Amino acid sequence: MNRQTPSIRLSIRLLLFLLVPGLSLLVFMADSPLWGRVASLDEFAKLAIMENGRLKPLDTFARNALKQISGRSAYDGKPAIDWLARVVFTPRAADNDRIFLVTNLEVLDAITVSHRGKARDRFTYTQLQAGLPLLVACSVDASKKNKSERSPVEEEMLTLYHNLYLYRGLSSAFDEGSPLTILPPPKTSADPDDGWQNPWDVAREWITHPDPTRVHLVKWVQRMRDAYAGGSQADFDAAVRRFNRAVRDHVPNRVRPHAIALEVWVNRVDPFVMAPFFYGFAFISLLLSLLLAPQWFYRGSLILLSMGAAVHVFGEAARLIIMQRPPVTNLYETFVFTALMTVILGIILEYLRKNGLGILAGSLSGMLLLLIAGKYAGETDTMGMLTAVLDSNFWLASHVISITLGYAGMIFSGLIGHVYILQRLIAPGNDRRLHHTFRSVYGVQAFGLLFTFLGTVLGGIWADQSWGRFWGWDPKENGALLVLLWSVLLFHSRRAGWIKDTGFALGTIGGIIAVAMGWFGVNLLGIGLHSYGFTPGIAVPFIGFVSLELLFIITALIFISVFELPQRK
Amino acid sequence: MELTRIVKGIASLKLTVIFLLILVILIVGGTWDQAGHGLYHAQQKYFSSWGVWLLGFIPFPGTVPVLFALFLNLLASLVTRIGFRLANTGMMIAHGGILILLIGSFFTFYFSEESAIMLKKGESTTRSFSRHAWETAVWELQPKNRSEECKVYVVDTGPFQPGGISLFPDLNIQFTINQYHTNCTAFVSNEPKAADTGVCNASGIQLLEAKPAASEIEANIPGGVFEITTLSPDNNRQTLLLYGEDRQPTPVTLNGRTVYFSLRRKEIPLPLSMTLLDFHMNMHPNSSIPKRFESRVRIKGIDPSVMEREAIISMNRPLRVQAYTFFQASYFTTSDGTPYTILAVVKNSGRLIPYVSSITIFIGLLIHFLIMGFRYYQTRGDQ
Repeated sequence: MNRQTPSIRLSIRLLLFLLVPGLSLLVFMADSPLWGRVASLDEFAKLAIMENGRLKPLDTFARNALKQISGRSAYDGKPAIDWLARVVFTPRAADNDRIFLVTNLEVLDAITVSHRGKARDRFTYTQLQAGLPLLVACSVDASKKNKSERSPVEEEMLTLYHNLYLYRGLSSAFDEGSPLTILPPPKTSADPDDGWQNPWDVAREWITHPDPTRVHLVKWVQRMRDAYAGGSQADFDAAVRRFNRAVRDHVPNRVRPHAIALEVWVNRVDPFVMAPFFYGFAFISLLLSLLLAPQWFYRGSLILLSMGAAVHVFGEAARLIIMQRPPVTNLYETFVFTALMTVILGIILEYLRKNGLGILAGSLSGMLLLLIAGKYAGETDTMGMLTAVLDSNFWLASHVISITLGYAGMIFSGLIGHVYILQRLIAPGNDRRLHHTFRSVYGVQAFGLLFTFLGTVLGGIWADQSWGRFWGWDPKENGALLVLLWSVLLFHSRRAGWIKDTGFALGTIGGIIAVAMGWFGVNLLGIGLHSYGFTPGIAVPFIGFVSLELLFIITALIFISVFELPQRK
Repeated sequence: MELTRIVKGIASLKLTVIFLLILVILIVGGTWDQAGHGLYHAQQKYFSSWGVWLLGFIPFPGTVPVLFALFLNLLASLVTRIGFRLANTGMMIAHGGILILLIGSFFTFYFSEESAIMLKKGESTTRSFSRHAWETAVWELQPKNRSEECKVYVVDTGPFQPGGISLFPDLNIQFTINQYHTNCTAFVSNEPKAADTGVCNASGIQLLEAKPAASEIEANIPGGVFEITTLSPDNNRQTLLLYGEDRQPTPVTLNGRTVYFSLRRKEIPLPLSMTLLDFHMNMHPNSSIPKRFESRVRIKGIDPSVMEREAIISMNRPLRVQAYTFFQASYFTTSDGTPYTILAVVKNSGRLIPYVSSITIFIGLLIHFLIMGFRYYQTRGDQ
């Protein structure tokens, strides 16, 4: 009892320490439009936060939160971390930031919030607050339904509700239920999987479980807030650094400062946004080489393609270091990795052939796949933790890398297949050029077949190790088998004499459709064990892509048969 | 001469292309069908069948005959068409591997058996339970506990059809199927035993209503109404209702003898006794993402070749005993907070065949493409 008295006293002091200045600060800020703010948040961005099982920099957390709420990773021209600091340390001031993205006016009508009639608009927390009771009621009803039964309006309502809830949690960082879990569990905790806590929870726990090792952590958070509100950069940075050091001392083996710093740097550089620019310029440079100064622009395109590949490799290597696992664990990462493989295939082909074909296919596929990857990046952490069954570096490294290599080969072959068909339509008599292009189509298709087979088999072995069966006719397995069979079908049809070079090239374009179906098309079905790939909102682009490719194939067939273009001898 | 012509006909590469095309269609159709009817039904309809009605009206071969045909086509090709030449080495190895793969597929298709075990800490079992097959168990004495032995007669419900009859001469009864539903809803009466209504059921169920098969095969709960008749001249009879979720067996008394009936998931005897010593389930911190499931078990062989020992079964780390493999599949917690581990059990003597065949095919393909690449560059060099 005697031992607890000072603890309780201290806990009350801690709570007052957090609450009283916090409340007074809120009152002050509510009245004052000129609240204090520090200029640099570089140190703050490197603080570690535990979210969804991963220790990540606050910078990543801020980006993901802002992207989830507003669809952007910056607000008012400033990085997300600036917005987060503003929300966390000076909450009322952020209530009037136009950050809540609403893309369906019916949602606003349903919760009786006035709007400007724009189909896609952003709103402030203050504006939406009036409709909150109605939004909660509608969201509760919507949440009772299965996802497949919900209307688009109900889906959007739930999204808005979750975004408002997230914002409320962030702006109450020093209150109950805040997602700002930056404080490690007590030193006495034996389980490394114990959750991290927000400052409020640690202060509250002091009453029942006094833990002197974490008092100073809470104090440094408090100092951060005061320094931020007071606009003192030096005090703020000092508090952040002391807090960061204290956390590392508290859990010495958990926080990897170099990985955290690297991730913050990668966030700033954004290699997978930068690389498509290089690929795009490489493509343009190659086209220019056909019109003027061929050698100069050709070399330029090769250099640009290589520079893009270097940036791309850096991005992949950084993810490997940060996550300590192969960077191929979700659909986003498979797109990024396949893009890199197609670029590398392009560079190798260019080295062998030196006819621009490798640069053309490599730059186009690299750019397009990275742009698609950007769409898949969505609003969540692309470096999320893996479920137990997927958490195997050996199988990830072997199966997923092989299958993505195979898919890269198929896509690359299909792209050169397009080139072959165009060459055949434009200059059907140029046998030599057609022959060289066809050899590339054929060789890369064989490469794709080899690695798709290897990846499919390794997937079967992984399934046998994890689920007890080599093959289970799961949609994702069937997708891989479809790609494999299609490729086998092409080789056998050519050998049987049923198709010639043109048919084979058209078939490789069909192979891209098969890859699209097997890779992410089956996700539209929303079933199976490979649940990591389910992604909403891809049906229309997917159908559009397949239709375009089919149109290309049919048009090419019509032209070739109607004009009776000669077949290569 | 005639035989050679037939074999050459079977070995036709054009036939191979046709079979491959049919397979592509079956895979697209079967995968599409899974979205509406679930994996198991699509698998049965497209991938484990001899024939299928495409779009509901086009007769089409199922995957089984197509794979048989491909097997014969490939075998004939290896004998007649793909002659042994150095340049063909890779192709021969790869196609030989495919033959082994097809043999392995047939072996697994006909002889492998999948089931599951559900245990709480301290509990033991010598049997696993089928995920989708059910059986009717009949015995004369209800055991007071698991260790007490009594002779249990079981009938597989797979072929159950109204009017079907099973005889149990030792128990002196005949079991006639009046109705049987592979998936149904049960309606409970207020009268627990409902003896007066003439229908016996331990849970008080009076009515069964058939419903469409669930997309997940495990979710199907069968039920049926049966007539039990004594084989003696007095021909006493009782109407019995059994439901897959009956909590206890239903007793039927005829001529002073009480016989118990139960509709249960098919039990598969194991060559060992397994006791769950401990079960751990960890989540990643601050998330609901499962990080690790792990069951620590003690196994003791019923078959003397199985050594008594402790073992850990976790995700990606199964336990293999003879032809059986035990996988950490899932877990669930009861309303009172008791955790149960769920282990998948697979019996497959041909487990290694896909491994051997896959390695063979890959090596064959690699050799083939390397030879082709080498020949191409040699020709280019000559030019």
